[in-house]
Amino acid sequence: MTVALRLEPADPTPPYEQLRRQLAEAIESGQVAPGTRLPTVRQLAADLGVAAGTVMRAYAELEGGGLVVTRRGGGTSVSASPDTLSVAERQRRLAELVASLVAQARRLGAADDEIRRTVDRLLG
Amino acid sequence: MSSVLSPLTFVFFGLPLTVVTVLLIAAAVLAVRRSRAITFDEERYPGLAALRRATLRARYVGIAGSVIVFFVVATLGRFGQGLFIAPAAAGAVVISAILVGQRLTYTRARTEGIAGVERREVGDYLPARLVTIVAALLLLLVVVAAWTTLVATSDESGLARAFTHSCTAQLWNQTGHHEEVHVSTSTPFPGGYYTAGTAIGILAVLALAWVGLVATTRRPRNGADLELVRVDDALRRQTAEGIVTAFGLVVATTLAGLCYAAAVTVGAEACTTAYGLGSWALAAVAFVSLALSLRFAVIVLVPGDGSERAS
Repeated sequence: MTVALRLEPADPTPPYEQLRRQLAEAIESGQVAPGTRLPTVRQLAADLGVAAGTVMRAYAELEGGGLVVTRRGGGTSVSASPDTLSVAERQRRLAELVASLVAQARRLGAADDEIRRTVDRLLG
Repeated sequence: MSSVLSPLTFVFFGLPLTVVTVLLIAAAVLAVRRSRAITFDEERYPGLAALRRATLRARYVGIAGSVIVFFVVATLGRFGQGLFIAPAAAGAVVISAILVGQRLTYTRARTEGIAGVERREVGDYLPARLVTIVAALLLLLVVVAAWTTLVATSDESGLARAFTHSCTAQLWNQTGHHEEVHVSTSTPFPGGYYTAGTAIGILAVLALAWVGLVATTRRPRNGADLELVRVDDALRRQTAEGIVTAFGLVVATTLAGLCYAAAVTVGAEACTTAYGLGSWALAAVAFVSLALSLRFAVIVLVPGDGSERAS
């Protein structure tokens, strides 16, 4: 099944970032499998009715994050595995995940010590 | 007067009539089998409905225009030169009409800001079996045209449109047995005078067909809805099939005409087995090409529902 992309004109987020976020979510959730070839810049820009530069920037950001790879003449495809992520990108995304976890745990009313102990216990 | 056909009458009149009848019946059966429309909820997808109407209308306008262009171009040039370029000119009109129809409705089935994560390529919409048949015909056309161009000789006007027969006669007279070589020239033969224009025409239509296929593939899609993708893909396949078949019709009719002209000229003085066999072989290729032309014509005229990758 084809994953749908939708740019919201009312969203203050720039179109390239909306596109990057949706593609990143689709890749990380496994909806788009590793090795899948993404649409060409020209095709996706035409389908969305945006400038080619918007799609190029979104692809460049995804490539910087290690989620996709671009080969000359071969187009852009989803990275084969998370191993291809750069150290900096892995740390950035791990920090995002932990920050989200901490925020949710605090909303539950858990103290920081309790959160730390729980994480340590889960890590074994 | 006998009421029963004599064998000779049957070969010259009955057989061609039977073959033409069988071919026309086959074409009618094929037309009926293909006459299925692409069905979908037109109110839910008005853009696709408009696109379908526009592309089909453009195709029929193109077909009507191609008939006129065929007869106009066929009269151009000396010694029937225009006849060898007319199929390419007619095919170019059909493909151009399909292209223009699609271009006019290029963004009608699109909502800005919606797309699917999918990569569309020309190969996704090509009718595989048709492409194979057309490619084989094109290869055959290249081989036959190269041969006729190489063996052609000049006529009285110096144009490469003649074929020279070389016949050896065995003669006996008072001094004994000797051979006499008799050389004669027959026209029209599809030499360079005809094939140069044909080659340019075929190459131009091939380029145009490729542009048409790329444009069909690149036409924007209105999202990732499964039903929309199904209908949109069917419309693209239908258009791609029309383009490939129009090109196939150009190749097949050109090959049929080329082989027919060569067969008649080579067989005009079949003093050796080689000339006789060559003439019959060329006639057989002309017949097969003609039958395929009829099939292609039906596919161009009756677009079908685009559900088959191969027709």
